[in-house]
Amino acid sequence: MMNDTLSRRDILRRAGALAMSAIALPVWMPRVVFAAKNAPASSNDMLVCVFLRGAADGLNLVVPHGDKDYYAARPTLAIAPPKAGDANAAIDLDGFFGLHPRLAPLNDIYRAGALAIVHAVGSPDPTHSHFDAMDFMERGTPGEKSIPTGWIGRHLQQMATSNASPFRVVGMGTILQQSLRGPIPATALQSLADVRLQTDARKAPQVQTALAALYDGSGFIEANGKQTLQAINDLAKLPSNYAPSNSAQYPDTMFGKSLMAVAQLIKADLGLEIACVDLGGWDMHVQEEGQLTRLADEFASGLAAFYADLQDRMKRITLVAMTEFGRRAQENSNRGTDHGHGGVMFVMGGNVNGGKVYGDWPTLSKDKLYGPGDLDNTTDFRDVLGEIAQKRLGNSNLAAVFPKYNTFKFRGLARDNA
Amino acid sequence: MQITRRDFLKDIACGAALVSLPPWVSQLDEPLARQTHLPIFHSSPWQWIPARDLGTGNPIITALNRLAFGPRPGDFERVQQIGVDAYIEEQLAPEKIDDSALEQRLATMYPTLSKSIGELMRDYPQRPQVVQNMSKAERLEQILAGLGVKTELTQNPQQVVAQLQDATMMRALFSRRQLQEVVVDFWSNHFTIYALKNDDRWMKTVDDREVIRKHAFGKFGDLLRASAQSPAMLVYLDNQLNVKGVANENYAREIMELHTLGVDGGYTQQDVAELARAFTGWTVRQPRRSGAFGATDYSDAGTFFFDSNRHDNAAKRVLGIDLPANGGINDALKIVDVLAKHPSTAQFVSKKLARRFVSDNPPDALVQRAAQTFTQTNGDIRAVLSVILHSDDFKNSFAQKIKRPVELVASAARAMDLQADDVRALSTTVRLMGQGLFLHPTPDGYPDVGDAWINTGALLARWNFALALAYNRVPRAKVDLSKLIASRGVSIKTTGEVVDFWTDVILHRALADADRKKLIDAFGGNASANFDPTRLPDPVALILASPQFQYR
Repeated sequence: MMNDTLSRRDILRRAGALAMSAIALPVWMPRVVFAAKNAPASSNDMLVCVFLRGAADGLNLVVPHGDKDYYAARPTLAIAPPKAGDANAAIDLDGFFGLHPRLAPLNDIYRAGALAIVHAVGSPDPTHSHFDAMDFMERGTPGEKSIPTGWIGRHLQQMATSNASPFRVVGMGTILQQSLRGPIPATALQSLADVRLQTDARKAPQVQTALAALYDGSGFIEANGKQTLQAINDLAKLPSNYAPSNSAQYPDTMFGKSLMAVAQLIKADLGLEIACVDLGGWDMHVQEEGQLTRLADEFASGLAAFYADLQDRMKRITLVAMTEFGRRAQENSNRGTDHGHGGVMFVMGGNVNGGKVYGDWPTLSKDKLYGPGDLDNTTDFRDVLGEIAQKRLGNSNLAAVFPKYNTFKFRGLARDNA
Repeated sequence: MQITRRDFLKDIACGAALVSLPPWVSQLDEPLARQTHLPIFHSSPWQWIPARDLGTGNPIITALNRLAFGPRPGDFERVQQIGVDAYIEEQLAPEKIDDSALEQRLATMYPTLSKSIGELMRDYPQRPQVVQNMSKAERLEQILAGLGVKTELTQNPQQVVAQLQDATMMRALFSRRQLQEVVVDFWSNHFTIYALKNDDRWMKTVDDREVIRKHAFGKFGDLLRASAQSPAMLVYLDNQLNVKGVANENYAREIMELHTLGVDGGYTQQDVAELARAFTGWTVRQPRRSGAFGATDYSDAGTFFFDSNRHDNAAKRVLGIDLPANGGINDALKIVDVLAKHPSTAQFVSKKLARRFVSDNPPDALVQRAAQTFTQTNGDIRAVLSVILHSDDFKNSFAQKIKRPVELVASAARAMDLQADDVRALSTTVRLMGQGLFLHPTPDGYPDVGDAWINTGALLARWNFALALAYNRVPRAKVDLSKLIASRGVSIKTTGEVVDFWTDVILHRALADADRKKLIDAFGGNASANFDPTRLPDPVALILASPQFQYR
């Protein structure tokens, strides 16, 4: 059923699509997009951003076992120094730092040189508010609330591309991540399987055509509507079962499923450039030990599965994991920790200079602690994200991505994308 | 705040036990985990939202979409008759609106609503506790009588949460005190509590009744104090565990950042630490076992009390106010009072209310007037609401807000005159759209700006819900399109008549010619041709799914 409200551009696209293809296309498809056309034009990396929401305890995830003050500050919560045969001890990385025992799956990736860790990293803003800190980090503008876009949104704006795929930038969840705010509309996905109109199969084309007309406008809602229709079409072509490669086993959680969906999108060559995945629940004011154990396990097994699943594509993928700030050095009276300052970041990928913990350790001695007793920052999170954006995502205009920041100090954790 | 994996698992269990998923929602088996991953949306919105020119609209539509969860059939005509200002006045005095029929219905359907925390703990125990909590005599009696524990086993704490969710949805759909329900939703988010955290399964129901509903139109100071001493809040933000030594800062920070002053309201990390010390010893009574074999005593379980043994008695200084040594419970009470009256609180709360009712970026002059009223009336919520709702800014704010999932689902159901005795399917729908009632995991509450809620995935869920509603596929609920047509006493035959009829029923205004044409085109393109009656639900679904219906 033809529709006389299609724009001229739609008609041209449709004509082009029909002309160039032998694929039987339903005529109601509003905008036909081909994978080849959508693939990012260059050999830039795809980026997966993992946000550990709630302020992950960097001191217990990547344990400074060489710092005696760590053990003084954490009488009940400290992770024991590395010891052969002790499954509860830290896993040594470099003689000074060690991984939380439940981050063991990351150790292999670290040893393979594909995982870099940055410690004592974070935002220079002193806030101890989750919400401000996440906001600042996702906007990439510490202390600055007047810039409404996110750092990824601005990055995408810089990248001239013909990539019109609805999957160019994807946020897993029901609400898009702040970092994605910007003029390039992002897609929020909960799962790939359910992206379809739930109506009688015979009626779906009619409904879809009518929706395409109703959403044929330039407003914010309309733009998202058009993208929704396109996503429905694109995903209809994906096989319904996804079998990860190399026996990768994602944790059976939302985080695991989200990473798996990202992997599936990557393999489907649907034009993905950036995906955001969240792992929440890190705000452990009370009884931290058990909770951290479980979340560390989920985080590490998720990353390890993603790495295994996409092994032959990792050369073109960078994953970065961050958190809004770390936690107080001194544990509190409830065997938990309060909000801190310096945190930890993980960078994984085929072109990461891994196998190393980056950063200058400020120490946990009393006179070096920040504010109410926190690990200080010696690396600005923008140094890490900026290095990735420039070297792996091919963005040469960091001033636009991180406005008002011009003292980048790259740590050398990523290789130039030659 | 801690949300454990166990919390997820319990909710999943809850989902499995209680929720038969409506057919149009994603069949995800881990809804709560997703909820805890919600990104944070800060208050300042991305300004593109109201880009679409929807015309100037009509203050009646604005009033019914903001003071209510959208118009039910007849509402528009009624407000047209009495006038918008009279409607606002009526809704500002919910105590004068007779809602007893619904309340009686809810009391029968949801027996948990009126119980105390102790009674809920006793009557809706965790499964393993059912046997554990029985005295030896009781266990023996059970065995001897050959009776199962079936009644108890069918009652679990997840049901307490589910009943509260469903009652809230029922009230949104059917209460005549619509503004009360909107304001309750506002405070439920301002003082948000994740109802599946530990004992909050039992406690949130009482917080809803004794804190939020009791003070929703009262004095902000009373509401704040009630919330500070609400067992549910004490559990949610860990204040019940806050003891001298190294104090737990969680609640002390959030009461200033999120409940009163706002993050830029003029407090420091030192104030947080000192206020946390002031709150030490605030806690909640646990159920008591009398002796090794005795039954559990729930008589005062889940009530607030001040444990002076756990209080830090040294002197403190918060927000420039000296709290001398040995102030006991008065340390924190004093500061709670100061926070309620603080000028930053007047600003922060007024701005949030204006954002709820007027626009994502409310006009500063309006916020200032509301804040002045807040201060002059000692935090009289009704007076502040009156300033906002009677303002020209409000009347001229047509389509400045976007419906969040609860508003979208409730307004669609109300427009379609949905009849239901069981709204579990709707509670589940809003949860899977990302706005599960009392399930926001973090203490900031659900975002109240449009762009947080509109994206690719969100629109698909909205479209699928529109289809389900129009096709009468909502489990245990009924939508009767023929009855809606008959009730208006009109005869609609042509495509033009059908499109115009449903546009009026759902949107209460005419569409722009170009938009109307899109709908006519969807049914053959000829407005005067006879409409194919087998396609009756389609125009309904399309209008509910249209961009226009997403605004409130």
